[in-house]
Amino acid sequence: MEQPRITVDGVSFGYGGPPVIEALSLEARRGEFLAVLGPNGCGKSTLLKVIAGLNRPSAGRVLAGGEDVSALSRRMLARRIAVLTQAGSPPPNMSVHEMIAMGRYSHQSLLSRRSREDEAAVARAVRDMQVEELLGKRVGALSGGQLQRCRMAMVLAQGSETLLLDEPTTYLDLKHQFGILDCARRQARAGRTVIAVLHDFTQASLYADRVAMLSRGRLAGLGTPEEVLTEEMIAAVFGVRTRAARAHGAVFHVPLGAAAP
Amino acid sequence: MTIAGPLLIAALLAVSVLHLASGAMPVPPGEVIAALFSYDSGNFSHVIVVKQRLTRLAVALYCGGALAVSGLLMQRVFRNGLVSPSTLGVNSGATAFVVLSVFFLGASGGALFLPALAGALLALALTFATAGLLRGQGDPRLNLVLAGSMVGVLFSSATTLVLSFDPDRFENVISWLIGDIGNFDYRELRLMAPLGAVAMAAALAVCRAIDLLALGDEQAAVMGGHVRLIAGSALGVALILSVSAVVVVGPIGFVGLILPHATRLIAGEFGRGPLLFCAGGGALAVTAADLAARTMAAPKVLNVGSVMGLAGGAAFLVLVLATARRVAR
Repeated sequence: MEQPRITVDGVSFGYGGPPVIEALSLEARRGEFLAVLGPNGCGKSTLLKVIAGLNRPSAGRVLAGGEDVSALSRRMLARRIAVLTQAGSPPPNMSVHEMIAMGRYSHQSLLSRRSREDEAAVARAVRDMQVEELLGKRVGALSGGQLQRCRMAMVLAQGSETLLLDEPTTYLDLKHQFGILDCARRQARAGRTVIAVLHDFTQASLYADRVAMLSRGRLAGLGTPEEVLTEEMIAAVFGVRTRAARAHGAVFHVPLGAAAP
Repeated sequence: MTIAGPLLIAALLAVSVLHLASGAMPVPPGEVIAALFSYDSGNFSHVIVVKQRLTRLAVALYCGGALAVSGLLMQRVFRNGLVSPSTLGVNSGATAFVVLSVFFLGASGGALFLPALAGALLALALTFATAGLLRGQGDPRLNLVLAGSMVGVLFSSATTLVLSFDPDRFENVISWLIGDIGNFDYRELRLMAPLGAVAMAAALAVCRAIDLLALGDEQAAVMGGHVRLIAGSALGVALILSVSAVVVVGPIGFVGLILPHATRLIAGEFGRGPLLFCAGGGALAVTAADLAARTMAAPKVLNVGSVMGLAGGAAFLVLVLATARRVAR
């Protein structure tokens, strides 16, 4: 069997205090869209940061393409894993083209100029996110949806085989949410591995091949959306009553209210 | 950088020729060019232009460029438009340690670079420690500059104290202290310029990495940037540049503060262009200030530090007010 792109192997992590993630294991494969779900503070973003090598696990290890993430330099790691962070706010006076081109940083040395390969990767990312007409603008002049698409293009330009997306749809209107998710799925179908923190059950079941449900830093469920996103699981993890309905080949969850304690 | 670059180069050339031409004995520009390209050691005005004014011009160009780039790097690393070698206390720290090592160790010339660098580092550390005490109160960017000015005053007082012990011994030091370009400064310049050239090359090399930091520490890290290494080396380069300038000409304030702002307005912020533009702009500013210092009250010669201080102090006030307004809004 093919080696997993990303292996999280018995990982624990805490910010100095009690563990935010405990003994967590999962794998993500080539061509897979894995959604990470869970209530606020369950450790979703922390898990993404551990995979990205920003947080060093206190126990266990993370492998990217079979190599321990903590043994790779930042540059080598960036060539394997690209991350759309939640916080990133590029400076308003940077041009969109400058920002997207920066996605190639890990492929350039201190003295080298932009290579033809860099140009091609940037052009491809720009086409993928359909931001051609924004290239000449300043970042500060973009709307929230435009900015997120441009940031996504920057991350795609990195050309890494794994994409980590931390709440990529937050603050976007519905159309742009689907735009980002469509792009993420295209990337997965093209052979990349996508791990995305999402909030919406329906979007997760529409787009994800598998869902990892986190609860208080532990894995509460891992499997296809149908296996994991059950009324019982959602009630247990989120404390919310829902009714699942099947339509268009996907499972929709209608929230009904807080679950009985 | 479209037309701004060529314009800057033209302005630099013009001011340089003017700088060489004017002084106690005016030399016509044509004669200046002749002195440069067909030097005649028997011609008195040629001797003045080359032996006296050219060395002075080189000092002004170098120190202006070095201080401006130093300020630009600091402002970009700290993402704070109010920091500079002078407002962080770096120049005062370097100055105090120079005076101390002249007094206690009898050091001189290029050997002063190491104590100056040590003083700059100490001042920077003190500034950050002091700003740390103010954490959680007010705007952190203003706090940093407030801490820097307190540390600056501290070191300036130490300097004055040491000078008062034995004023006679410090006759040479005094003109250096007020930022005067002396006739023999080129001797230090000869030692510092290669160092500055290496630092400038390093600044150009880390330019792209510094641009990456602008995306935020986390995004920069996942895109392949070693954030602490980038910030540390940029800051190291900035310190070497400003200290080398201080050793040559003394603490000239405000070049490192104002020029980065002018650069941002004219040449933008990202890529290597703005760095080069800032170097040229700093060189232009200090050369023009020195030209003004030597001609405004002729035949009396003022010193470039005071001219720069007066002009730059006013600009600093405007910057602080603008920042405070933005914070208040």
